[in-house]
Amino acid sequence: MTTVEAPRATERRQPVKPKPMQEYIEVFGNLPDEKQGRHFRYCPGCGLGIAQSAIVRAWDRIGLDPEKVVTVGGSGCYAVMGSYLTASQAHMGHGRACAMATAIKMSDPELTVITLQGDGDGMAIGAQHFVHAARRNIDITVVIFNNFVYGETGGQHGPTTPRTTMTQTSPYGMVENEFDIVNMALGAGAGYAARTTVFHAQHMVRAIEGAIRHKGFSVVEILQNCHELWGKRNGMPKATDMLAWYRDNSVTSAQAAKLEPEDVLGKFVIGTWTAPDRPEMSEEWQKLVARVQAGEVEPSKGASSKPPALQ
Amino acid sequence: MTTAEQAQSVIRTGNQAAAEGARLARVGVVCFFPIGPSDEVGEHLVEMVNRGQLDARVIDLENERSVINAQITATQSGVRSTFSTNSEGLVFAYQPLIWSPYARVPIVVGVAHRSLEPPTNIQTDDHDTIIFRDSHWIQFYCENAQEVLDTMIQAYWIAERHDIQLPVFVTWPGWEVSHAAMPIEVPSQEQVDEFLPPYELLPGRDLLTLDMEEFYSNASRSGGEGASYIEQRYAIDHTLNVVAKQAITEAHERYVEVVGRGYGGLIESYRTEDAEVILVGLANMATRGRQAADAMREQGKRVGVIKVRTLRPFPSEAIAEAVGDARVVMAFDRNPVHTLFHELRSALYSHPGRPAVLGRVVALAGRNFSSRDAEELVDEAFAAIEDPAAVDELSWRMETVAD
Repeated sequence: MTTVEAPRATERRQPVKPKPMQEYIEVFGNLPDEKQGRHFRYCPGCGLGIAQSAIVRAWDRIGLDPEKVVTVGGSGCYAVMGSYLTASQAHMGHGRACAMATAIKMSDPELTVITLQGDGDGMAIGAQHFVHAARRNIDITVVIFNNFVYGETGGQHGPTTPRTTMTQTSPYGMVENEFDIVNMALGAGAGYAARTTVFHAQHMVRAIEGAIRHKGFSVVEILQNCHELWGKRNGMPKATDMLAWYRDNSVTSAQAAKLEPEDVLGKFVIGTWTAPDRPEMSEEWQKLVARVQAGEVEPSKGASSKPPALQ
Repeated sequence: MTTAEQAQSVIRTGNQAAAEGARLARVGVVCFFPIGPSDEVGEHLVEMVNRGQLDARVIDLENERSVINAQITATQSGVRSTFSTNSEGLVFAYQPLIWSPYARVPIVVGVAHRSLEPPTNIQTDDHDTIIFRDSHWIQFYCENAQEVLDTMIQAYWIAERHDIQLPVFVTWPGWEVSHAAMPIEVPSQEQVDEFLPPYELLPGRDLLTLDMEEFYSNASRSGGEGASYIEQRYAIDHTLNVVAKQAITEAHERYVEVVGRGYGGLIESYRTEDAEVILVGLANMATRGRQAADAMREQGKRVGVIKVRTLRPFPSEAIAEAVGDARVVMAFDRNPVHTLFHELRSALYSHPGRPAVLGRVVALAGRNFSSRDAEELVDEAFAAIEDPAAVDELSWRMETVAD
């Protein structure tokens, strides 16, 4: 069903420009006064800073107009990220981002709609919205910051906690299995899904860029270090410990394809996966409305309708 | 062995006390979904399970709605369960939370209060459970860690009684109680076992050996187009407002007998006998009231305090009795819908003395509410005795003065 794609050659020839974060934010206009001089509320060394940097770098590469970008978020450590960006942001309850993003895209298909979600937010309490947005193939991009735990509430285990690892509520090891976010997205109908880590910063930029450029539902899972709450309980108390861990335990999808399955076990397979194009929801609605108004389609004639030819 | 020898003195926060209460109640299922400031309760219970101090299964689900459904199912299967959440978590679980009283499922849910969003806030006020006032839940509001522990144990006894079978909220202020440590007495397991028998299902209500003909809790199936709907609702309302009131008083008396500690049952009165002004509050709003009452009495002003322990059933009769000949009753409402004010007006409408009832919205989202603030409000209450028209019936305290 899915195909594995190696990074394209053109991408390799265009390394990400090493601009400072502030400059990328200024690409989108001046910060409002109340945000001037504000420091980031992430823990020191938190991977969210790298991820935020990658997001705006991806925007810069595409050349997005900040007036036409909306980020949507819920609850979690990442929830402040939207307020650091000069694009519009929408904020609602825990896990609701995909539902809200669907409505925003439907009401104005011209907008670039990006949800910023944690793994607890997107994969637990918001999982139903995630899979249904994928099924509808609504043209939004979901960015999941996967730090393996509920970070904001103190590091409890969640649906992405790797089995056997330690958390606040699994001090002797997690007994449940974790979600594979990429496969879950593709299985639910996403056309584009990527996995990357905060160590692989340039890959992350390209993964996000590809997701935003993709017409239809797209997902980027960013494995993000939470050394404070997860790393400290699993022998990696420093940010650099976790970055090195991601470096040493990741293989690209191209490498993975050449390895025996047992050699891939326990590794993070990073890369981009795509599925054949399916109709996109906001566009299909616009087309249907136009055809109904032009008198090209008629409503059901009940029992005398022709049996459908399923597509 | 005396009661004092059996019990154990320890330092505990409100959240830890709630976990101790659930442990002593021998819960068989610990449910968990994180939300501050409630999540510590579950964390302590998970730790107790891991260490073998509690024989229970931990059920960690993907959101609060799933958790409440799991609690309902566990309880319908004959297993006592526990879960603590608040604000956004409660609102998210609205559907199964409303289901439980009307399906007569006696679950107990702990709530370390947190203000409702938006705006995003992790501070504390009562609004998150106040909004469940009209859903036939029994609601306890606790003032400190000791009361949390004792009420948690009593809650199971009340909820599970075969003539009640209604769910119970046991609540305490977030941070101020949930994370504040104090010395508490933990009763022995023998004492609690003497007070609280093992949970027993009503005959014919066992989900695992379900006979749909007998199983009336599933109203949509057995009611037959709502045939028994009004009868079921009447039974529930009568149970809450008549039977449960007696049971709460009885629970208090039995607990005092077995454990040696109590909080007055439905209400706890303080210096109300000769009071002209009576302050009424839930949980630690009563603490402020008592401090103000003591200070005012030193000035010769007769002030008393009623701590309302149960918002539902609302103890109208007990309050009317405690109010006696007081001239003014003032509610300290820690919620933006001034519920206590309205409840008191309703309860005292036919009271012979017809005291003036005033409402003051205070301490929302953890806003400071000092005993000096409370004293200034008491001055307003005394002004209302002189000239009722000169004082607002309902007002919001937003500016505060330091103690």
